[in-house]
Amino acid sequence: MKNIITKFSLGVALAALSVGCTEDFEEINTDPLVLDIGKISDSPVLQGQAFAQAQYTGVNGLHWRFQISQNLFADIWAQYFATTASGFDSDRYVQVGRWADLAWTSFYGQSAPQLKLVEDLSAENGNAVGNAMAKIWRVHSYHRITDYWGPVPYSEFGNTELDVIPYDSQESIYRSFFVTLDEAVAQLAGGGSSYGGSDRVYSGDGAKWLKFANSLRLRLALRVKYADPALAKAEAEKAVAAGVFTDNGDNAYVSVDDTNRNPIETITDWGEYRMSATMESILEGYEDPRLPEYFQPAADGDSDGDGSPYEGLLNGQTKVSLETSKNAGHSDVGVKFVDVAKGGINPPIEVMNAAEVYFLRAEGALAGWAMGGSAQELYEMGIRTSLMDESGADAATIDAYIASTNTPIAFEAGAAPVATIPVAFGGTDEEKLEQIITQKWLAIYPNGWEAWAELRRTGYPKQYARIQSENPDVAADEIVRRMVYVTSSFEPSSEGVDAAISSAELGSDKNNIKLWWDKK
Amino acid sequence: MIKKLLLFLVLVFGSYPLLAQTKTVSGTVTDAADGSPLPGVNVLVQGTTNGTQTDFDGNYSIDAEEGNVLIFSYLGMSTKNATVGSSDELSIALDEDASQLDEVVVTALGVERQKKSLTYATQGIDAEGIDEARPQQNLVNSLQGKVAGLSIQTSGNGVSGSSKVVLRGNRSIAGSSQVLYIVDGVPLGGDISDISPDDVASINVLKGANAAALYGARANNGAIIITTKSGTEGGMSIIVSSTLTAQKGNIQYDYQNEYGQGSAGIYNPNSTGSWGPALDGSTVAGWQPTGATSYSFSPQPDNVDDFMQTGFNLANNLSIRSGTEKIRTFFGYTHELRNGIVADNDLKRHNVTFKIDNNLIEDKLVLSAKANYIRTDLFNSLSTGESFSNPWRHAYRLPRNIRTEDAEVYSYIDIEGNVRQNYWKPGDNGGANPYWTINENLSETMTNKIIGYASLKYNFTDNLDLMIRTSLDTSSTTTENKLSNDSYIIADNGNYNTYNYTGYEWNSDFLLGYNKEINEDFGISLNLGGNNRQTRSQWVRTDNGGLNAANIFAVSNALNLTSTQDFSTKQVNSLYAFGQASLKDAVFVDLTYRSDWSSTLPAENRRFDYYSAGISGVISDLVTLPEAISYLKLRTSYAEVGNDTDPYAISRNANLVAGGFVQLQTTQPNESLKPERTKSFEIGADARFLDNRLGIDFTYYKTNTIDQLFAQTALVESGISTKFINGGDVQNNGIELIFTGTPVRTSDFNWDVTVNYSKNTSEVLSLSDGLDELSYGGDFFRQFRLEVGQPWGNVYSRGFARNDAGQVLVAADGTPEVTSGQDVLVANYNPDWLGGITNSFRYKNLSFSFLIDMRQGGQVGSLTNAILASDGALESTLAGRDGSLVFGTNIFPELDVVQADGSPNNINVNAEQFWAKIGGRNSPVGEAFVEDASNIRMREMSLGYSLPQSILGNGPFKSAKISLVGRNLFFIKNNASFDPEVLINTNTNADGFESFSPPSTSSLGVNVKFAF
Repeated sequence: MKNIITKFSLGVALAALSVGCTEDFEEINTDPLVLDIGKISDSPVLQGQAFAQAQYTGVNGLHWRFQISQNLFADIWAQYFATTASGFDSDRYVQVGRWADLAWTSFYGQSAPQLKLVEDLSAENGNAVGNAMAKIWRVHSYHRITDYWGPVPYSEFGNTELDVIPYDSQESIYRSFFVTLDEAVAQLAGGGSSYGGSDRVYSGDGAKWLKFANSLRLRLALRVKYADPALAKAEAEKAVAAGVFTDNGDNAYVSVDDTNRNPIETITDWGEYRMSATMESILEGYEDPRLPEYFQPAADGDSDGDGSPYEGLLNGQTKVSLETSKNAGHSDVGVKFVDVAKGGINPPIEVMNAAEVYFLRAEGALAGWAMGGSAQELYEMGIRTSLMDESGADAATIDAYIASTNTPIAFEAGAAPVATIPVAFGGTDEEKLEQIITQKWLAIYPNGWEAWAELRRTGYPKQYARIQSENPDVAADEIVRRMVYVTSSFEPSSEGVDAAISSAELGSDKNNIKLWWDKK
Repeated sequence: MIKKLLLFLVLVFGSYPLLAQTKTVSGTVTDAADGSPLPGVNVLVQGTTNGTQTDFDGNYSIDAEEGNVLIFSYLGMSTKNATVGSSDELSIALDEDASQLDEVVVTALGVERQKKSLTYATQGIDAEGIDEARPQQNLVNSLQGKVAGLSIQTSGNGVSGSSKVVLRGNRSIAGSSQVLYIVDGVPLGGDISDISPDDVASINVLKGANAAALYGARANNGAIIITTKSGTEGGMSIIVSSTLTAQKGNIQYDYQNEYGQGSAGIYNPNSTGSWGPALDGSTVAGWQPTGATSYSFSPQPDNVDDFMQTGFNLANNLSIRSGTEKIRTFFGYTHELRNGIVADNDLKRHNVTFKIDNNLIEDKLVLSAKANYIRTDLFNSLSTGESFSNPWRHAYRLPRNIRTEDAEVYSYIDIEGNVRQNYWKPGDNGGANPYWTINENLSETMTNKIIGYASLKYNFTDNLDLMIRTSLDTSSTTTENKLSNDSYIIADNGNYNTYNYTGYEWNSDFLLGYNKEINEDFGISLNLGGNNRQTRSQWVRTDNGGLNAANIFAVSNALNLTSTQDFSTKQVNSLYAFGQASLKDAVFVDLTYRSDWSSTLPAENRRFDYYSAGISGVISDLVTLPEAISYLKLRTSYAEVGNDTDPYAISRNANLVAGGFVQLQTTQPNESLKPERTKSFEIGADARFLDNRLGIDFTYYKTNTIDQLFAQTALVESGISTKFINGGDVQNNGIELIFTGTPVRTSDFNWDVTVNYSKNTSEVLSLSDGLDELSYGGDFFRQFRLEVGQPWGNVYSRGFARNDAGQVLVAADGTPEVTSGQDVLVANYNPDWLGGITNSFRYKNLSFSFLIDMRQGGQVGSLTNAILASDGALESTLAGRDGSLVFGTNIFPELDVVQADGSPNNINVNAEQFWAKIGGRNSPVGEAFVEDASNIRMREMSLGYSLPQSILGNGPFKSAKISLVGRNLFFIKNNASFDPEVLINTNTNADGFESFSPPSTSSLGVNVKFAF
């Protein structure tokens, strides 16, 4: 019996041994492949890498996110491109739910939390320069978001204490942008750098960020020109006085690498869009030197017999007409944007360039603001800067282009030209504005996000009417004024978005509601 | 080394004495009750280790001397002895052993118990014949239709492929609702597709948490307990078996054969749709990108069927069972070759098992060990659903005029010498030549798997024993994907991917057992056990991101090499105790208690306890019942089972992305996670009538799974996309009925019938505070949602827009008005009931059985039909091609369609425009493409013939049998245009959705089996 008891005890001891050890459970349950968040707060290097991610996602770097948040909406609605995939309804003005959803969740889910983390940690660590960079990027990111929807969560983003995150009015968001830029500019006044090579825009150079802040202020100032002219003038003049982009060396890009690529490089491979008819009409009519850089000749050559192998497609093609592929008969994007294996260069993602800044100043000058030059001088500098950046044209060619009286042409036999303005600056103020915005539209290509915003604000460039709209709120010859809110903004609680929809700025949640700044 | 091995083999298999002066005694063993032959009766020469078993006809032959005593033993029968006389023939009839009336079943932790003592429902499956009627993909599929309450669906990967096996309904919101597999006491990390049917001795299904509570967390979904064959005492038996099966696919989509490629009635050789002109045999230009030749524009009704071939499956098995009183061994080797119905979708498998039980100290100490090595080479596993490398996606979409002989020429060499894909719409996003896909999108997977255990069992006294065991299920997998240049979109520049996985589940446990008959009427059994489970898995994937040199598949040939990695590990320690008290061997009380400590939970909630209790009474042993009732047992039990979660769910981290990104994880962890819990109640009765010829087993159950751990969508503006929460209550209740009957029982002819019926009702009672629905996401076609107050798993899609009166609205252009989002409930896959009827007949040496499997209710939304409709490939798209389609009249006539002003619809529309609006990939109207999942099918049919002893005579064979087996032979009824049982994958949200599934497959095979 004693023997049995001894053995029994042994058995129990064995049991205790095997189940008693939970000390290493903590270690077992620690994922070795990831980073503890606590480590980020102690390391400026890791914060820089988190910032890099916010920069890349802030311009929807990842290819499919880019396609469903920008390419299928802003790029198509700005008529840089026309859709050739029959299943993509957005070119017929239908805001397909699940895609637009990702425009929202990509930003709020992927980009905004990173940015907040970096901004908070840089403030905690007394990194004024890094903090200023994060603030400027925040303004850049959120102006894109509010330009899509109008009222959006901004001031209380990331507040996990709240059950409902309030939507700020677009007006209040824009007003606070200028204040935030003031703060950032003050923080950058002493120069300095932060985040080094992790900063994908300027490799940590505070002085360059300062110029970007001023240029961004100018963009935002012009955006509110019709909503609050006094604010627009004051902020624009402040921006120009403080120093904005003046040459292509100032341009802001998000750099890419082999893993984190320029999304156009990937989505171009999918063959789902081609040059728009509007593009063909303008670029061919102007005999624009940027044409061969922006687009390729159609694979089928000059199929409409207009003497040029560049072929644009009317937007808003019906599903049925797209059952026959339009790809070979129309122009794909320029070689530099295509897959590296097909001769592309995986270019950096353009955020803002000096040409745009000249056009912004030209528009301000046209309104009589102190922009450091006349509207014509600045307009012509804008064209010059863009052609130097985007084409191999020599000085003589550029001069000839600026002086050219060429106007847009019919994109195909029997069609009218999309517009009548020439390149050479002149005409009424409204025509001059059309020239400025049309040239800006060309200069910032392929930044459709900005182009669609400016189209809504100014009505330019003029567009060919779509063949078909399937959206009862927006006719084929009108333009979409905003994105309607997406499913994610109603889940799990719709309190915040409901308040935004019923607010004075919107009144209802439709594609034809004009945003606060859309007052022309 | 070789000498040692030989010596070892001789010792293992040859350790029985050779007798001198012997003669061969033969005879037949029958059941005294009805004279039917008894197969598998152990026959042993007393005092020796010389033994054998009776064959399928109850025949045996054994070498013995006159005067030897033969011992005949058989489970459930009284053992009999007979002395060998002068005759060479010795036949005997065995009587039922009343004390052993009840079968013995293997329950949790490998404890063998009498079935009558169980307080919960289990269903044993006759493993006899499983090797003959072997399913094409997965052993578990042989349970289809045979177990009440069990639902089995298969994933459409071709010759390989896992099955989704669910007992008593889905219950886990975020985790798996699938059963746990236990093979010889070893919990498997994955499914059982690798296990050879030839090795299986018995299968027992523990249906609820009640039965499986002792297996801990993972058994809340029930468990399937498989016991493999062991060596048997006495003699050696060698079985050689060979099965050749042929498979045929049956494509059921309703293709039209009147119109070919093009649009608006005009021929276009580049079109993927069939909206062109009538197929009138006129000569049209070919589609080939190089020097298109003209050909006859005529219907190709077989062009999709031509894509299939007859599949073959050849399985060969050698089993050797041998043993002495001291050492018993089993050796099994199975080799399988499978060729699928899609060319080059092949599998080769070697499966070697060796099992040994060694009585180290007589009656005291037994050492047991098993090693099962499985090597699988899988070629070109079929991608599923919308994957661009799923060949079915492209085969089903063949325009109706494409000739097989043209499509088969899937590539050409361009002027630069590059191999290019031959396709009617070059470069299409989503299209491809299916013959290109199967020839130029290749994959190869090699898996090495070892399942094994070693255990020691020591009997301290007759009443007290201790078992210590360690067991392992480990595997490693290497996959290579080779995509040639010009595989549109997925690999325009070719691509090469690799995937390397290793993982294991390692369990170590002990079990201390104490049994005591206190007195004649009262007995107890107490057990105390513990388990340590460690799991680990890791993988690395590489992706070449294109190839520099065309079609050289090497990592060094990468255009843009990226790699990803995963690692996961977890440990669970457990202690448990269980006991049973029996009164008069008729009333049984069960109690179990288990504590788990899981590494995945926060320190304060790391330990969780749960228990079960049950009682059963054999009424027929307690009171005298009318004579017609030969047996009546009642049982009831209640159990709670806790469950932990996946690793790393309690802290928020940041991921590192190549290129130098730090990326915050978007799920907010729950630092105070509680374990989830399944509460399960069941009550049942088992009654047999008329001398056991009629039996009914009835079970009612109800389970609630509460405090579930899942990620809930958060307001993304709060800075997180999802948060991990504890919540939810998913309830399942239902009944299971099993009828067994023997309408005819004579010595020559026997007819057995088994009927299974089950009905499960699920309801999501709650999710979490303020949350009344949870979406699993989905795709352009559908969203899978759980909604409070609704059955499990609603499928939402777009629907026809309706006015307040419920009438369907038509737009001004004659096409339907469509809801803007996926906000219409269109399908729920849950069946109203499931049933199966097995009839088995035996006439002398001939046996015949068939199984009819039924499923009533449930719906499936079909993306395939949505796409084929917008392609104009279906019969339904023929009407109104001339523009005369009127929605609600000659299409969807069952709908009441009105215009915006309420007047009846009379607007003509073109069929192409109509189907473009509601079909297609990107915004299909799911409501229009939902089909009924009810079906009745001939699941299994088997005809067997055992050669009688008179023919076998004194030849080398103890027995020989030939069987003809058909599986899934035909649908008796199927309302859907596809097989509703085939899934895109085995994930939770795959139910109720069909997307380019492989066709239903019928198989017919022949099996020959010899015993030496």
